[in-house]
Amino acid sequence: MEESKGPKVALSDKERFPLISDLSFLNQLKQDIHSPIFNFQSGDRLDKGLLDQVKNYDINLKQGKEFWKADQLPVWLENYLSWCRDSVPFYKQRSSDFLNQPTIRREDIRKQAWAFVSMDVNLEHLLLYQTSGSTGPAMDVLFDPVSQACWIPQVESILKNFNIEIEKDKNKVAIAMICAQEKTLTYASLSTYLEGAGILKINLNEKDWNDPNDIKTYLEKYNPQILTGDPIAFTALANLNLNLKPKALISSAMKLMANTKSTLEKQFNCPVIDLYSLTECRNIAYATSVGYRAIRPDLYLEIFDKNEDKILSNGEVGELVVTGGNNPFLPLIRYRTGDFCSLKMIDNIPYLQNLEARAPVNIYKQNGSSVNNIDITRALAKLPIAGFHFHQNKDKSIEFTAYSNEAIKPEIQQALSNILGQDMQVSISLQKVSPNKGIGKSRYTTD
Amino acid sequence: MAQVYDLCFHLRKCPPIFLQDSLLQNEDGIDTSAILTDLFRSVSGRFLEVDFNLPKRRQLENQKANYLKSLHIACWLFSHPYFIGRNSLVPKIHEFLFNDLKPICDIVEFEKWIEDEERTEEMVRTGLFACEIQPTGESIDEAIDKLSAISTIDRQEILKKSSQAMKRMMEIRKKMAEKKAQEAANPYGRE
Amino acid sequence: MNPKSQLIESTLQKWKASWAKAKLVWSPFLRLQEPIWCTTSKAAAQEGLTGSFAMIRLTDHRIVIDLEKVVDENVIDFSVEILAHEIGHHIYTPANLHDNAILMGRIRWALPEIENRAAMVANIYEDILINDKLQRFHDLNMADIYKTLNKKNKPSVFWTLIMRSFEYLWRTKRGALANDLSLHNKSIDADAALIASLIRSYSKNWLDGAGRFAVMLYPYLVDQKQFDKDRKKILVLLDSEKAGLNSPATSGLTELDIEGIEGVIDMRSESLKGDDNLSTATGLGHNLLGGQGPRNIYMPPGSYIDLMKQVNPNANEQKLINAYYKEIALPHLIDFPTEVSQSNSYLLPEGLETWNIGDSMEDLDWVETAIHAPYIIPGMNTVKRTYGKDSDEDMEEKPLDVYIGIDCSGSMVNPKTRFSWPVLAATIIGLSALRAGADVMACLSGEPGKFMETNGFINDEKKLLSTITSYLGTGYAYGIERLRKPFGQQNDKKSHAIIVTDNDIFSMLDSKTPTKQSHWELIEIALENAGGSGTIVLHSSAHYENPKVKRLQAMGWILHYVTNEEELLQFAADFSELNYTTN
Repeated sequence: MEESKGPKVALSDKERFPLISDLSFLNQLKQDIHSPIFNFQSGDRLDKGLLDQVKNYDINLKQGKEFWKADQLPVWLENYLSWCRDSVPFYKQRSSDFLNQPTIRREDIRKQAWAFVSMDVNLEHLLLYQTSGSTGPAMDVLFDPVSQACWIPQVESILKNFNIEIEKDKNKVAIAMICAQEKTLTYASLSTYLEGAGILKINLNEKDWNDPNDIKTYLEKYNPQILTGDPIAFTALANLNLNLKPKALISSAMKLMANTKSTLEKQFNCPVIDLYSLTECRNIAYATSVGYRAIRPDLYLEIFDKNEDKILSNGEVGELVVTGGNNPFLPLIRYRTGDFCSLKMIDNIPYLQNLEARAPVNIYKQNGSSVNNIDITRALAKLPIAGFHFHQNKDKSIEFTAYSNEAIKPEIQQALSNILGQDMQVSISLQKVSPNKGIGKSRYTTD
Repeated sequence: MAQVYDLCFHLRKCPPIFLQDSLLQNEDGIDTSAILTDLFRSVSGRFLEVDFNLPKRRQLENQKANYLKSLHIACWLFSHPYFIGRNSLVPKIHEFLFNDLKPICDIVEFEKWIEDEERTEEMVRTGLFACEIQPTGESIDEAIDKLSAISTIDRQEILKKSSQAMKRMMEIRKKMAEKKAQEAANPYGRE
Repeated sequence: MNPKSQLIESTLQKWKASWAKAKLVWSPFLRLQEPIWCTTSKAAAQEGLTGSFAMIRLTDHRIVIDLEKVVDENVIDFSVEILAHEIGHHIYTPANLHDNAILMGRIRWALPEIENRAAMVANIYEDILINDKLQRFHDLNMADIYKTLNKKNKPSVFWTLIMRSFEYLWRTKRGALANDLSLHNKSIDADAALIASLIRSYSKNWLDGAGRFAVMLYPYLVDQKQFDKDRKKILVLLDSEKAGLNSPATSGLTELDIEGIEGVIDMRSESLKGDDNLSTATGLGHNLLGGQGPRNIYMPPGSYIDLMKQVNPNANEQKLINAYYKEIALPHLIDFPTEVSQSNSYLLPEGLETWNIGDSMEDLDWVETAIHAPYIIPGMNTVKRTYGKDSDEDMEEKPLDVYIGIDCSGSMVNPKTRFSWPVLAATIIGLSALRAGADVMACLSGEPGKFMETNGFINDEKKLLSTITSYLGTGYAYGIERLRKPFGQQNDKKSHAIIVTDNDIFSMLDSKTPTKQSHWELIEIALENAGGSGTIVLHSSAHYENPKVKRLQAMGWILHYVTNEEELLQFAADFSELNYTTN
């Protein structure tokens, strides 16, 4: 007797965009004769007070506030902890010493999301996102319009390093989120923070368009400044060979393999940025040649032992644990992200190195010696693979599924043999990347 | 050994006159000091004694009306034949009436001692506990457990904590339910 | 016959023999049909009974017993207890479909986000009420049923809470029913004691205690994973969860149940002395999900549908949404024409139909009911009269038909989720027109994109409402092209035309058409062909797009401005009054 609790179109444009009175560009995006069959509505919900908070966040970020010094805690941490202890039921009984704080896990939030909501918030601002539960039982993530909209200043701060700026033009599309799925919510929207510039969420699946040719016409016409999506969706987009001139592609949700990155960069003639983010705290870092560079001084990063509440020293690989953020509906104190990496400070900026989603999995050679899955990922990075699933059976044989549109079975075979030995039994299946088939994150599993 | 059930039955039959205000606070009320003296005389068997080390009139005057009326009711409880003539109980009943009972009366309204079955049982069991009397058919552990399971004061402590958490949880979950059915604010990238 | 079948057979005889005794527990005058005895769980499943050994159906006032399950659960010896318990559901709580729905609604208010568990909570609440009565006042041994079930069942925290509540109610030793002492703690004790005192205080006015009861259970039910486990354990007890299956929609439930909402109180706070606890105890249920619609007294349509589907999981969503808007529209409709025109038989009584508990009281035909049955059992032998229209139409002057075009683009709210004023307005005009004998054509349009319309002018209320209450959410405005079907050519019969839309209609009027005829030309010809009045109800302020407005007015269109949607109600009532009241 479960009731359908999926989100439904339920607001007016006034509620979606309290500060935007001229919706003509939005209407144009929706009313265009080549527009997709949008199935949803969405806005950023920013009123004056909330917009000011986003702007302040931006100012702080742009000032280039320092992160923290190696072996020191960030300066804001003490205040943050005492605010949590005062106003967040979950942290009420906590000690005032940060170093004594235990870690928390996804399960803690899943069980009592309500207990993480600060007493200071205005509940009217509560927004809610339900994770699909692909990595465990579904979980409600609570947030507010501010922490959502701060995605833009965070990304702007990354783009600045590439000398790229998002134009705040109310006649242009600033960001288009590209999906390649059987079914997903799609809409045209505006960004109040970007002064009315357009935001699109697009599904490349032909079913979502009146005419398949509209995909080309529509996207080329509005030529979004920034494209966001995952490697699969971008690969599907690249296959369409559209004449787009984005300033940057921002890839997230899945690891971006080196080969895919360079293919996309060639095709779109712009930087392709691999952004590491989590639903629970949003953006964390983006990929550089020396690791993932942290972007938010308001998010303190530590590395912990996988099982125990033990901090690992600089350079050791362990579970990434985050503290802080700017979401009063989910303040985090030592939240275990479930992702593994080591931490290195370079010029006082933290870098996540050897970042691997989820706990490292030991893969075994026939002779019984073990190989870290990170090395396998590295070996595969050279190949044009958008995503994969690597599974080792009990008898050590490997089943490998790769998402790629090129006939690269021999190359994969070669790469895996190089690492796992020539005597390893590997069966490889190749699946084409299509515009209507979303796939999960790349992953390693064993029996 | 004493039957809890019998004592509860007795307590619930408390005559209405005991529920009146104390004469100390209302001139139409009943004489609290007289009731107390009568009680201690019959429990001790010393019918001529006047001073059972009872609180002074002024001390009683300043007590809350609810406590004084509860005191009357408790006197009725101890007027049960079971307690009569058991001089050794005098200091224990004294302790119960003037120390143990008072904090509970900050929470329990006097009528409840008679109307609410659980409160009736609480007064009986608290009284027996003070008198160090084991209820018939119960082991000591069992008796202690039964008392603590209905103890108003214990419960207040627990409820204080759970009710605050509960209120916040309901509030937020109600909002969550409402918001889940709606559009959120749009995201800009995949997560 | 194998031994089990023999055992089931002897159990059947024993239980049949207990039926009279079980009825006697409640009243010597009790009239209730003998239970449906199922000797296999398969047969029971066909009656809709799964999971438990017994259940009740309020729709046909029956009890269903699964004797195979009775044997499996080893409760053979509790025939009188269990039958008396089931009877209790029929005559004590929830007793009838109306109270069942109210109870469910009240409990839902107390279970934010886990409203889908309301039926189970209601069932447990009823069970405790009934069993306490049977155990304490009728000397039945209900406790032993639980002891027997305990033998097979490894208790959970939730089960422990319920059993501990019985221990408080019946003054048993700790662990007599809540037999896993490792699950006991002070917090459960406190909660169980409060539940026990609630059950005693509200045994008569049990509907009023529902909110408090649900709040007591709430923290035990919120974790989905835990709940799934708990539910499995308690399944064997659930005998009234589906009591309202296949029942018709009960009328009167669209309004917010203020009393029920105010009864959503946390007894934990309520029983605390001092501070400002009273204010924290009350007001839990208070209008966080505010009322909607006229005077803000109605439930949001989504909540209404969820509630009604919980009462009757087989309910048809479209029928429910129709019922919702119809019920809210009723006070604003024109009266049924009372003055009979020349044809002196406007409405003819045609026959009788069963009056169901969900129908409104005034529909009940007492005289006919009494003629047919000496004993009145609501929903069984109660009848209502049905009326038919006289076809002798040429004698009377029929009112003009009406065309209602509604902008159903993305800027409009989904009437299934939120209360929709345009939908209410269309319902009022549409139903008033039908009452007056006119035909109605309705069209939802969100273009470019989709549209949806009735098959021409119709007098079928169900089809009309189903169209009006649908939702498209595509495109940006009402598509002028939609006027072509009803008014592309001249018609024999005249109609009024109403278009409910907003400023985007002007973009639509200016937009390109596939034919040579512009939208401006089409809308002009449409009004001529309609022959009646033409009104464009604009959600806008006057003076917007002034030259274009003038152009429409020159054609004869009346522009009616509403600055907030509530004004649509007044417009609809006025329009109906003006055009469809006969006297």
